[in-house]
Amino acid sequence: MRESRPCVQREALASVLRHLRRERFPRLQRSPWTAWDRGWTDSLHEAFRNKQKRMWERVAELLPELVSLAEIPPDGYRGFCLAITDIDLERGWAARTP
Amino acid sequence: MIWSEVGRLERREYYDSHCDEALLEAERCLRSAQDAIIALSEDQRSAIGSGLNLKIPDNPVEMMEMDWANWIPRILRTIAHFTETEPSRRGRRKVRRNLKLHPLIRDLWRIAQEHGGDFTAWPGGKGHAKGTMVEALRLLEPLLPGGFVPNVLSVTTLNRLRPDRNRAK
Repeated sequence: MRESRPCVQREALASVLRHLRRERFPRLQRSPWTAWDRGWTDSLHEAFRNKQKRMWERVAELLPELVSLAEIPPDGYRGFCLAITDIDLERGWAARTP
Repeated sequence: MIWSEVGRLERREYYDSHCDEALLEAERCLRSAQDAIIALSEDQRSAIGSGLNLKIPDNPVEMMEMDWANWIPRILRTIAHFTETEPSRRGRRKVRRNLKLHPLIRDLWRIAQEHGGDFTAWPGGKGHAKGTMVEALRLLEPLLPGGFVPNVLSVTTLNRLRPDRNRAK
């Protein structure tokens, strides 16, 4: 049984999360009405974007906690975070994302 | 001994990964079909056999295998490996698996170990688990459908799902 966990290297993790946001939630980076968005109505686009934003906020809150609980070393941050978001997206766990 | 256990666990993992609600539903339907076939008379069975235009083999074992009425029990026996059901009777074995939660727990163990970390699980009294795996599941709970993570998590179950359990070191 362990009482104290090694500290998470916050800077390294923040950098990984920034990359992850760009990779996994690219639509949050783009301005509306890119070529890909054609055909979307304003409200649909906004709803989708808001949902993605809320999902990302949850993920960004959750991953540092999981990294800390699993005692992941800094060189494993990226792989761990990617794998966690992969299984999340694959199984659609975020069913209760508001 | 160790390798046979490893093989067993790998087979279990293979079966687990193919078992879902659709397979369980297929199993339920096949059991109903089996009951319906048992209720048929001999005449009806042989008439259906003729209708299927089966070539009757000389060998009695092959003949048994060719009997169309045996096909469903054979499929059921195969499905039983995946669903951990007693092939000969209804109902599942005592050890029930949560088809959605268990793969999630197994994935969490695996991902943590693959990236140089690990979760922990130890008995916290009355078989209830404590440790970082329980904390991680509680953390994920708000994102999961209601009732996905049970209130009481068993330490035996959590440790049974560890990928490195019983593996040769």
